[in-house]
Amino acid sequence: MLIELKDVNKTYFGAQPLHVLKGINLGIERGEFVSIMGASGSGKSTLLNILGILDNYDSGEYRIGGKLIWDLTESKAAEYRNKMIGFIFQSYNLIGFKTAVENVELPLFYQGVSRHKRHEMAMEYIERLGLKDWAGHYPNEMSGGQKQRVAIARALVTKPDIILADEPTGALDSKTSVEIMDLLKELNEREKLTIIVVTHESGVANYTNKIIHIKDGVIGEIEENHAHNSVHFGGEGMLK
Amino acid sequence: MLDLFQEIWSTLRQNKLRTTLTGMAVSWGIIIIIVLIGTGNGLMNALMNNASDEIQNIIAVYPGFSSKPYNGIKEGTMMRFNYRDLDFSEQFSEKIDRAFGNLEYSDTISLGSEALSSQIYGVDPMIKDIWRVRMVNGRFVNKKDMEDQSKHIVIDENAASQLLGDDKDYSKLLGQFINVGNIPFKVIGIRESEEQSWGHQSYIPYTTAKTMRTDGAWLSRLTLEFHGLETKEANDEFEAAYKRGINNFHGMHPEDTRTTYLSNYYLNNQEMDKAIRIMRTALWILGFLTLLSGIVGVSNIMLITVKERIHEFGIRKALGAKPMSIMKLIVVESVVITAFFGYIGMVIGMLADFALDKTIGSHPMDVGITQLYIFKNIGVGFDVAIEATLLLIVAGTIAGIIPAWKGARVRPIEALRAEK
Repeated sequence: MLIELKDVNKTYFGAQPLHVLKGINLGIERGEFVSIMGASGSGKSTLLNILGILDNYDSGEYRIGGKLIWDLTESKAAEYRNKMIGFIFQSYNLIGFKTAVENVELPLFYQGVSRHKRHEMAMEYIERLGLKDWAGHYPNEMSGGQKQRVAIARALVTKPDIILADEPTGALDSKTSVEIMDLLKELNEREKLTIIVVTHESGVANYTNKIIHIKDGVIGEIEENHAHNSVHFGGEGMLK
Repeated sequence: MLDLFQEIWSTLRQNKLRTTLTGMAVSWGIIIIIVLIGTGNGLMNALMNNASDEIQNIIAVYPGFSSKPYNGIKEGTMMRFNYRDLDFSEQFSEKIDRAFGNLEYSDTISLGSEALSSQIYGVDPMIKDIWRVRMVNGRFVNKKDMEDQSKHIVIDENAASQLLGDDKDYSKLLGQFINVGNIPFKVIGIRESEEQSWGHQSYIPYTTAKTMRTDGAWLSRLTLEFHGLETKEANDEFEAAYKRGINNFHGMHPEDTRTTYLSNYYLNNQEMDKAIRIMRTALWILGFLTLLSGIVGVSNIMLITVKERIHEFGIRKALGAKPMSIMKLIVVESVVITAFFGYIGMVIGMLADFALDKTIGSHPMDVGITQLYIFKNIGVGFDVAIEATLLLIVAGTIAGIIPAWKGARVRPIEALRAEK
């Protein structure tokens, strides 16, 4: 089991305490392509943040490859994120004053990879994602789909255990969305990458092999979706 | 490190105008520091007239008048030093390495038909440094002159000029013989005339003077070279003991403090050093306060920069940036801004010092009765440049530390949520 969550709880203490995650139990195997689906307020973003070691949880256990993720210092958390997790965000989160290839180099920079080596590795992934001619361009010179592909290259370049995609198509038109989802699917099939997609769009979720429904902070139905027929892409108007 | 600077360069390029404006405050602070310290140095140089640092362990003893009657010696009797006082001083050999005296009398010096009256000092070679005698031509009395009791003489510029019949080319006089009274002396050097002296001063070796004034000659002063007196207390104690001793030696009241006057160069120098240190510190503080406004400016801008870049820091953190690396990014950027503009300020400040030195530093000021140099050699040394550099680095770090801490502390989820 690559990812294991046991009775994970999370409460936000504000003016009114908000029990967001109420005992999450979840296991994801290496090489799985799953989606976590839920409406806004369901706790899926919180779960994503915990999975991505961006936030901590109050009780329970979260293990990645057997390693307990608990009570980490900021530095340690940063190190784990760097080595184990590749992020793909809705809004790409590329750094504006860096070129495409420089953005892809960044996680390697924080691994202490030498200049020459990281440029080589970054170029390899840039090329693999069909952006060779765009390597020297800045994000504002690229289309949304291109930017997201740069972000995917950046997520892949460290060869992480898990790819976490947070609404990866949220800012894209439907044609580009299909391209990106196809790309993720292909990466899962060809490279046996473990990919977790967090979304509220059933069309996006339908691309994955397993759909985990989350509602009001608890895991609901877990749907095996190898046939990819739970919802039609674009059907029901769920994916633009 | 190279990566770090590239990162900083690319962010600085984003905000050229803002960075420049902020940097100018730092430049201005450093200009003020360099000009303050430069002119301060000029002022001190003029005050001390380039005091020699080598003369340290010297006490000059001058004769005074007794203030207490003792053993038949009346009050108001003048203390008179003679050769035996030098031997007496040797009794304090524990502290005194050497004692020497000055013989002083006036005589006529002449060359051909030109003659003038001059004070003749029989001196030890060391007097040159103690009195800060500056030579125009030739040399001062030296050790060999002392050993040989040579009939060698050093005269001042004005005397030389008069002897030559108003000729300014003093060097002609070197090696020539002039008469002191009616004894021929060879001129070995011409000294610079002092601005505020009226008579002429000529120097001959002490040993020579001693042979010429065999009897009844008094020493105008004793000079003691000492060692091992580190503190003011030790010096005071030694001076009191010396006074008692020399009073006894001359049959005067042991506790009469007015029979001799002691001038302790070591203590004087210490006092002077202290005054200079205080002045220097005061100037540094003034300069630093000016620089402070620049530092606050940099800090302010860094805070804004951090706020603007919070989202970017969130991305970096998500990708594996540790808080320390974010902190380093901001602090080094702050140091780079401060150091770069500080250096520009330092260069401008030094040019300003140079310009000041060429104007007010090279012309004496009219202060009514005479003309005085208020400033001499305005400028700062290499040490100040080093100190200012260190100050800049420290200042840049201080300016960057709070913004850096803010940037490093923010949690990645909050940072990612922040507005771009």
